[in-house]
Amino acid sequence: MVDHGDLFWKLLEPEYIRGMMFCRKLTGSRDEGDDLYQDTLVLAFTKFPELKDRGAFRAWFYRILINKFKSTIRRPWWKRRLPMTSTIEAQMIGANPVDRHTAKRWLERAFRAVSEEEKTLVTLFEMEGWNVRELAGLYETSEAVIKTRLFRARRKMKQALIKFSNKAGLKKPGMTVKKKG
Amino acid sequence: MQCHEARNKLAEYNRKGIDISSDRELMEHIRQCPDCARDLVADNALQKLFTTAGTDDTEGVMPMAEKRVQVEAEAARASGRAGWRRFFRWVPANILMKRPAMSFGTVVAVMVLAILTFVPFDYHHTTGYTITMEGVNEKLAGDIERICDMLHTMGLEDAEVDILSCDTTCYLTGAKECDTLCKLLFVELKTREEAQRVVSAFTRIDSKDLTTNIEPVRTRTSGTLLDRANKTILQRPLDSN
Ligand SMILES: [Zn+2]
Repeated sequence: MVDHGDLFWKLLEPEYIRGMMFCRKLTGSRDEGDDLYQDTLVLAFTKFPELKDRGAFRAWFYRILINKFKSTIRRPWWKRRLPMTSTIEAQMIGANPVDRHTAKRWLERAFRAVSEEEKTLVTLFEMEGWNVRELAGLYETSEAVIKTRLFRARRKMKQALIKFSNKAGLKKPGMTVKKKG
Repeated sequence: MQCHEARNKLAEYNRKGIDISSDRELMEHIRQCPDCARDLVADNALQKLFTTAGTDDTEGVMPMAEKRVQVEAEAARASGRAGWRRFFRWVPANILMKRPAMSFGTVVAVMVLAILTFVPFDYHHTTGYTITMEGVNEKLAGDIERICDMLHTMGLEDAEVDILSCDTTCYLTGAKECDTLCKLLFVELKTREEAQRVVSAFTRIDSKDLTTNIEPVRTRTSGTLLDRANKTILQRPLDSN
């Protein structure tokens, strides 16, 4: 058991910070992200003796993390915290998304258009630097399927942004295209 | 240039960080097509959001050694709680063994109820359909975004497509013009009717060398009688065959 413990932390070391950052981005909050990370670590540590192929540690660990996230968001208290109030939306309108806090809220708004499964995939790809091949390994599917899922999620998020901008009646900074004439 | 080609290029340039203004044909299309222009605007905005919101929040990071102590203590507490749960399951069973006559009726009733509710058995049911499509032109097969668009137009947002293999036909047939034809696999189609719609859509584009095969996905499920009754009552069966 002691050996298992040492080995677990040794294998986790290169992913320790990245895993925590991923949790914070997934939940959109430092505290909730750290809670999710703690739960994931406890579960992974307990299950570690069952992992036969130590070379597959990274994908195995992220699979536990993603499943933990999915079970967390199914809990009633999480569902109650999700809806973005109209007050927050009103504050977002006119706020400049180049500031990180506002950008997070805009992004949270766009993420509401996709499933939680798609959100984890997009977060890993766009914000955590995973490539399509690594994602195919993580989700145990082909690269073409990952590309399809990413493309679809991105389209849904773009449509959500367009809708929200129209509703807000504004053009966001950086949302301009030169037109002829 | 058609819209799907423009969108493909936009997505590719975005991924590779290439400046789109270097592509005259694309710029010309965007100037004339408000849909693609809107798509470009949203795409840029989304990319900026990912970059800005995606920076790491490194405040309050607990060192790994400290985290290790915390995690291992919690794991030990959790395994202690599991031990108590096993003990409490054992106690009532023990009492029943000491009063067999009185408990017999209760045990039988509980067992029947338990069999109905908890004991799983295996049964097969259709969970969806797959299509294997051979002879799809390489240009279309490689254009994942166009295929996604087609599926989207058909309202098939859950369907997924994968390229199984591509063969160059001139080697096979000795034809003068060399075509590369691919084999595609579609999964996650809910009904046979959905699968047939996909086949007709592809046949409309190019039916020359196309052969298709729709197969139901039969899944062996383990479930209780209650689960099965629920599924039968609440959901219409996917396949009446
Ligand atoms: Zn267009």
